[in-house]
Amino acid sequence: MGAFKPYLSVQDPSARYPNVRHPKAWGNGIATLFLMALLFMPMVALAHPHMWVEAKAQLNFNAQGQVTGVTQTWVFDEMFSSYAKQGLPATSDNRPPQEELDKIGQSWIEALADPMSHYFTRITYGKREVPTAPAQRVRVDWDTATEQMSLRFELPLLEPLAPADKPLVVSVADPTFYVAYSFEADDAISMVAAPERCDANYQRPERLDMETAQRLAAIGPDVTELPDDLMAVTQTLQHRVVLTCQ
Amino acid sequence: MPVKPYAAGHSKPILLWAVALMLLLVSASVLAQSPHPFAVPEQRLPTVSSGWLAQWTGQIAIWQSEFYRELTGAVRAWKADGWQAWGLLGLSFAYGVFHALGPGHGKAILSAYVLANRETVRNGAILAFASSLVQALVAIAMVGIAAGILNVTGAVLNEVTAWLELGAYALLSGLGAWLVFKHIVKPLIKRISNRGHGHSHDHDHHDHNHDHQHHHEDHVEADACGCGHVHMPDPSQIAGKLNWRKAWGAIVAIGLRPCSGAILVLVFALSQQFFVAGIAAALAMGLGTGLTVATLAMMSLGVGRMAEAAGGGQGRAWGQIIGNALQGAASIAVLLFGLLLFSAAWQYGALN
Repeated sequence: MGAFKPYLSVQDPSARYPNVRHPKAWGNGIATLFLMALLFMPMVALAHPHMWVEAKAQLNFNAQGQVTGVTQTWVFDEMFSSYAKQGLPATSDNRPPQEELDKIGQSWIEALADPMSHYFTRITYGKREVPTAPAQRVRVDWDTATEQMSLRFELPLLEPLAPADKPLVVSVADPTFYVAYSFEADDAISMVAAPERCDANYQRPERLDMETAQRLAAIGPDVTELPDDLMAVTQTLQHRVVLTCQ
Repeated sequence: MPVKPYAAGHSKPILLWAVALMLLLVSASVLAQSPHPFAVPEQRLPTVSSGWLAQWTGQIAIWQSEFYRELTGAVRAWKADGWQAWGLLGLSFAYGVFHALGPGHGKAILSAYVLANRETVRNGAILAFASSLVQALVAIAMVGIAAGILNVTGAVLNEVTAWLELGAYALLSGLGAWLVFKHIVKPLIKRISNRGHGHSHDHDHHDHNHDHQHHHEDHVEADACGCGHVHMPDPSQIAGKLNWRKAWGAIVAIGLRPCSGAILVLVFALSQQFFVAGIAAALAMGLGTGLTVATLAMMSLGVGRMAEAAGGGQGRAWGQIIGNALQGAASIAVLLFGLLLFSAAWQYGALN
């Protein structure tokens, strides 16, 4: 039906045949509405990072060879860093005073402690989620050379855990895909005081395929438990630090 | 085969309810969103993902992200070498083009607005570019004054953006209410007050509607009953002149909320003591956004026009009914968008 015809055109071609009604009027009307619905809907792509974080994870052990917690360092991209630094007083070397940075760190950690975010970090042992205490040793730094801000915090396990037959997995990801993480530095994964028999490996997330993206998008925010198969897929979408101890 | 006026009369409510229902469904997901731990003035809107649309938005998001990540380097390159200005301008323009294809309310509102008002294609394009220019200027003024002169923090910038956002959405709701009044309430009142002789019109209106085939251009008094008044189009509106007094509401409603990319690049440029690069980038983004929004607005006008033509054009009962239904639905869409975005901004904006 009809090529693109702007409102500017005065003559309507179909009006030349006044007695011929178009049988497809209804169908076209519905199709039009559908097209417009697509056009009108505000769209948010699921994979739309607006922030990039170069991350590092460090596994901490106690003298008994148990994991006590995970320390992460997140270096923010320049754009976000300059936004976070905006308006802060600067010392002589163009660095914000530490008490200002501490204030920012406190507000970030408070927001990240929200159960929905949970520091964008989940620790699992087998099928069980390992409970953690609130983040501690929070530190925000400004690197004058790279002009980037970074956040460091430790997530202590409620009870120290010695992985045996199963791996301990630390998964990092922003479920909303607002923040894009990368663990690409050579020393991105490290261990402190780890027993000889333990080995930590990094597993890169797989790319989110469109089908999964659609299924994830279709699940309401009130749903906290994903179906098993979808859960298995979303696990592979996270950055994973896999700790195995023989 | 004659037109069945009864069936025709039912089509409008059905179409309108479909639009209303769709928007209400979307609203449920907006209201459930909570703020992100790392807040920047980012518009948070509901997710729509289905088939090719998801693929499309996904790809756009990837391109947009790539341009965005290059922006900081481009600002530095320009600072080091004046000729590199083109790099930043090109990137910003591309970012604007893809940004407007992705999330955002501007294109949706403008598309609905031009449909509701039966604007000409030319006016749709002018509105798109004007609102994008206003959007860039608001970002430049906001960052220039609040961050550049008053040196406020990012948190305060978030708050200022949230207030501008609330203002924009309040204005949008008002604009929607006005459109609904003009295109739905007023014609209905007219119809009810004409009821005394309206019944006979219902049966014969398809017989005498060819005496004004070009009346559909732009005339303001949309005729909901199609009962055969003689419509004399206002010649100035046929000529396609944009009524700025009428248009400023839409331009400001869209432009008042600055785009987050522009704010961030302006703040970054400020941090490099090179604000002029931020201004240039924001304007280039505005140009790119305007181009996309103008294209989408023209497409929506084209689709609306096709739908009317499918029903036999404005001169025919079906064409007029479809045209009026579209106009009414678009008016309601603007109103719902306004209310929806306002309530979301009110509940989850940086103000809380």
